[in-house]
Amino acid sequence: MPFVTDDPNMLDDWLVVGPASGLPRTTRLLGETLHLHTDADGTPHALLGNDALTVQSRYGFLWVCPGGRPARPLFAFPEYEEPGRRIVDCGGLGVAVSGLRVIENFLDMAHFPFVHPDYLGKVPHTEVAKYNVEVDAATDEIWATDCRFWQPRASAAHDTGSEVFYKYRVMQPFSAMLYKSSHRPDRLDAIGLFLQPVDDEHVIAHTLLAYFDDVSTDAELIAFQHTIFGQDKPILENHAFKRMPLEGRAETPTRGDTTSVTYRRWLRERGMRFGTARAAA
Amino acid sequence: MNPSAISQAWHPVAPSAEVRAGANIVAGFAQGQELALWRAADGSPQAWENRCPHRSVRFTLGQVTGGDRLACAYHGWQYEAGSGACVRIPAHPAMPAPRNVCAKTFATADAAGMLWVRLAAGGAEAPPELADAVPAGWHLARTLTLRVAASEVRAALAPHGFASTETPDAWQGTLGESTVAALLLDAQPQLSFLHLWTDAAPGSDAMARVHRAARQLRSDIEAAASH
Repeated sequence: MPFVTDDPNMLDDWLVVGPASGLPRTTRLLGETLHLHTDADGTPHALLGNDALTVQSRYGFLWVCPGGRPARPLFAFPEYEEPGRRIVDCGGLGVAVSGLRVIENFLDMAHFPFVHPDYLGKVPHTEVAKYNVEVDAATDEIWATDCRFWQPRASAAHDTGSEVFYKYRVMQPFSAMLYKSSHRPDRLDAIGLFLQPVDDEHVIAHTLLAYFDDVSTDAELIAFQHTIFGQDKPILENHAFKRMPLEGRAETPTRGDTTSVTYRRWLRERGMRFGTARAAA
Repeated sequence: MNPSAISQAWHPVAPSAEVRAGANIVAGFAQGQELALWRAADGSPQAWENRCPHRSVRFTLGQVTGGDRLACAYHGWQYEAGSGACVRIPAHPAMPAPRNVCAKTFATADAAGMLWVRLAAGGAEAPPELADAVPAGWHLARTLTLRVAASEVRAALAPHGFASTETPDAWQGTLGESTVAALLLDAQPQLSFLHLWTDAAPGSDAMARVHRAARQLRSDIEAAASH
């Protein structure tokens, strides 16, 4: 039996395997090596040994359903096609930790002043105001709304800043989206985080921007994402246990962790096993 | 040693001078337990499980703050020296800290120039023999890292001319031409530390010979273990 897990949350869903460009190439998914290529007409193929896997191309990425029987369609991403947005692929970066912890980090604001000082937050503006979290019954996706956090202004010369508004969305255990104020007063920028699960304790983090921004260059936008990622990576790779505990009392949330608490409960309710730690005695 | 003696053992996790008051946090190991070693501003030694109880990020990435607190690098949660109790959660500055959130702490003792840690939750205080583990006035040559189990090191020390002493896992012998006190730390299943103290003067030729002989000792022990 191929693949390092039999968890249907992984085998029966669409898992990202990297960009739709840059083919042919090999990549790793659930402990196996896949060979990716396209036909002359652009049809994508994903091979595990001699076996053809179910694959589709969406949003500039290839997505594989390892078990061949997808339980649901791939999530909607309307911002990808929206006129006026620029789509910037920030590349795929490896992280040695369970992808569940990477998603949880992406959903968290409380770490901004400590891990991303002068960029996304600044001591003493550390308070996380109450926000709203719901699971959309129709899509089974998690939405966190009314999130706001104090963010420094671009100039580091003065202690000035303002509240930035955020929304978060979790589409799959390993895919999430963040929406924040853009250059246009009535629209939100979108940042997609799509994690490729290499195994229980390793992912490749693919980041895609769908921004209203006619000023910054691609290089500037990508460099900023990489700076933020480079600050998160040593934290992510230093969890004392790499897999996320869904049971037991080893880890204690606080009020500001509402999205994370909801995420862990949502994972428990779907019987998530991949990337999780068994409870200690 | 019998199992209860091992769990009651005092482990020499670091030279005392390496862990500076109110300054740094040093990674320690004892029998597979990862530790965060630090001192409050008053010098009191702290050995905590290297894991913040919030999201399990290692305390060693954090910093000592306010003289007597350790702040986690992830969300800045602060824990006080001594009890290990969480005293501040920056995401909720007005909220009193939750009573049930606590770093796991271990008993510590400074003796003979080393910081010792006891893993057993309740137990005897540091025995007086610890103070005799290293003669007064000696210098730390180095801490040797060996990628073998502590049992392999114990078995190898006698054939290399070391004799055991009153202090558990403290040995005396010769390296180069200098007398050496070797304190063994069982760090992880395939990782041992040997703290080598000597009367050779730092920077001297004698000390250089101690270092050469120490590297040879490690090569011999690791080679023997791999067969």
